[in-house]
Amino acid sequence: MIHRPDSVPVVVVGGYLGSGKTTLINELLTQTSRKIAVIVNDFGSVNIDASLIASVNSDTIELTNGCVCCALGGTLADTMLEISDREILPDLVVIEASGVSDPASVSANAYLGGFHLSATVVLVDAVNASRTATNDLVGQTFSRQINSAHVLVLTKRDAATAAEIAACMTIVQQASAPAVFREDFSLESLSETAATPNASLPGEHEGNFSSEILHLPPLSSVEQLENHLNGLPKHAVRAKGIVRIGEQSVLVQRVGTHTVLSATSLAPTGIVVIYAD
Amino acid sequence: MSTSPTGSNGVIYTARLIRTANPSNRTATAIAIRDGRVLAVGTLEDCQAWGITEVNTQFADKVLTAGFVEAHAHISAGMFAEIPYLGFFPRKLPDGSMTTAIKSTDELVAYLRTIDATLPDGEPLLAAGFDPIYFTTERLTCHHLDEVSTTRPILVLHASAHLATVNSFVLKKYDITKDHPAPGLGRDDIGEPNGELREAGMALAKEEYRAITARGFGPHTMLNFAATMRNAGITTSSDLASTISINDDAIASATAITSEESFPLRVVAATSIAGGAAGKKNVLERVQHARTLSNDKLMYPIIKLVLDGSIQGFTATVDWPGYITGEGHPLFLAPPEQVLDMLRPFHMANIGIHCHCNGNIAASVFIDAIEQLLIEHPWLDHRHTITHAQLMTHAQMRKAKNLGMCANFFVNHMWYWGDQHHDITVGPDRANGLNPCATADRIGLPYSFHSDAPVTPPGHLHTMWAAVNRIAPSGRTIGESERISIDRAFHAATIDAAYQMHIDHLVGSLEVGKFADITVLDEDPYAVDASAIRDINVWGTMVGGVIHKNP
Repeated sequence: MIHRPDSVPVVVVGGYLGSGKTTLINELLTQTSRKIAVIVNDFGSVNIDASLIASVNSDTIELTNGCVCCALGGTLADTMLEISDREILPDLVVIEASGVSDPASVSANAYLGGFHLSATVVLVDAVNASRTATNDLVGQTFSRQINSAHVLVLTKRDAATAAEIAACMTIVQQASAPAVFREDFSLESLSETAATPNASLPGEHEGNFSSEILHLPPLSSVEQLENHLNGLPKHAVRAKGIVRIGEQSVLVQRVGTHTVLSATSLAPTGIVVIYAD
Repeated sequence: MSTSPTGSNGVIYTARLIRTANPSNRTATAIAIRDGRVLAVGTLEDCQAWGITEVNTQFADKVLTAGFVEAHAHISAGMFAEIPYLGFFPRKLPDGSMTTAIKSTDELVAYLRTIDATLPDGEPLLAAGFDPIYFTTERLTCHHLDEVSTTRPILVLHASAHLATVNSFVLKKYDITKDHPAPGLGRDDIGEPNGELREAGMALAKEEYRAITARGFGPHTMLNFAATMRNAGITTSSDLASTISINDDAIASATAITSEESFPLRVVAATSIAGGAAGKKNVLERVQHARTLSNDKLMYPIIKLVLDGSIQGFTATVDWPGYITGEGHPLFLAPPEQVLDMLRPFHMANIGIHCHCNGNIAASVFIDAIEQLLIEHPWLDHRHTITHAQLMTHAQMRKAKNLGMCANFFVNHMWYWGDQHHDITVGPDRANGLNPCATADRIGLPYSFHSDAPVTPPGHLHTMWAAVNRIAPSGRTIGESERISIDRAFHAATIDAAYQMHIDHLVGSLEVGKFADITVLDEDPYAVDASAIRDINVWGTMVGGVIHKNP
């Protein structure tokens, strides 16, 4: 990943309504030893212990531990620019994506000057996942969320039945995203590793992961694409992105050495490659 | 310029014709005004029965109509007075001048060069309103803008406000090169950035992005908004998705400006209840507080919720079979299962709800939520309104009618994007049924229609023309059986718009006791050829009896 060594890592926390985003963020704010700036949709949803609050104004709540909680005023980009203007930059920015947003488009804000994307974490509510996935209104939104994740986190397992967890696992496995799957997760564990320039993610088997975006030259054939992908090192465990082959945009989804291609109308994005370090 | 009537007892204006939008007295030739309100409408003799001696004949050759009411526009429409406008279709600026229509990238470059020549060295050149949907053969890139200047930053904000194009100077200033990882960068065939910045990517050009988006809606924008509306003959307009009520300074500023006699518009501030500034505050409390500070030209009867995207952006929630070409990206801006909870407090407080639904899935979510709210809290006169309502099905319209709801159709689409809807978005069949005014009449669903300014230029002569003709720029008629009469169109543009904003007791028709809000026209929209309705000249307006002549 290309970014300045002193740029601030950004973690996007997405997931459908009720998947536990706020709980995770509250946990981070109260337990962290780092200076973290959290951007939330709504102050009303964050439940910060009064003893932790140093000052409040219309846009921000400053905490005694050096963290700051920003509510969205204008656009997310506006808020990111405001953070980049702060005298003391945070060690990490955490963005809470709204329950119906596509975390992939939210994470585009992490590429603004002075920042880099560390990871997109998407929470999946084990109790409701299968219902949400098949819901006529929001099924598509839900699947976009899952497919945009670098890290998928299963939440509310304690409240779920075995059947619900199984259904949830099926959905997650069918999702074609190259995501690291986690059942236990805290943002604090992520922030400790993510603050270093080569953003690394805690992985499935205690190993660390890092990611990179690959921009390929224009391709004229599928063979050319395969040559590029086969040239990736062995520890490139997953890859996903949109490239152009000739006149056609193609969605590339690769797990291990197995690649699936499908036509799409979306514009090329480059390919995110995840490495098991 | 604005002038007040002099006579304290009142003044009578005579006219070639007065169209009242009041079915009891449909037309008249004189109107008596006292204390800013309609005292009498009829013949000169009828008006003189009130003992008024002052008769003003300056409108003797004009046609006066009930003031036009716009139920879906935004204060940001004032912005185009402040930065160069690059629209494919020209629009009228507050000073009465027309913008230059930009029909090709060559014209765009030539026009921006004229602006460039007027700017001091180093000052950024910012422009807005460019709509790539009309430029099918060529994309606007940094190379075009480099022909304008290589020594100052240039940023062109597209009409959708989701994209901008910058020149190479800007790319270089922010070190935006081939290796830049941002997903929101447009790239050419060899992966080099081509100047296009999408969505969040626009903020990569930090200073220029801020300069164009953070202009704020201060007093200047509000004045430009009011002047733009006045030029179009509009006497009352909503600011739909308003932020005025959200903080005390904005309320104080808006209250002061609208209290000036020279301010030529009644503003219905419909606070946005989700997203943006609304996320920080208890919106219901803010609206109720603002209501206590209302004046005759600043009211807060309704609120606004946005539920989905746009049809031309392929983000409207379109039910099966979806978009006819390409893949849609249907977008819910509020979680559908939360809509009921979001709306409940406002419904319970008897505040009208206007909900943006372009797609028919969003319309279903909203209609179902209103049905449930009515079961919980029977407010019989709610008039909750589906705004845009472009793809409503007939079944949805029947149900909305039964529930006492209204529609506000985006009928200007028939002209501005009619061909695109026919060819690219929903296809001929559903394009014919877009913004179905005639069906709403057959079903009995009350409706208005709107410009969504600044999305399209404001003006009910244009919306009425679009609803009556349904002609697209290619010349084809789209949905002949959804055409309506000029009489229905006139009522939709006046009293029916006032009705859905709960202000029909104040404005929308020239009826005794209501505000003397009048649109002054050179011709009678009923008498000109239907194809010429939009060409009628607007002389000016009268708001509360105060005359506002257009420049």
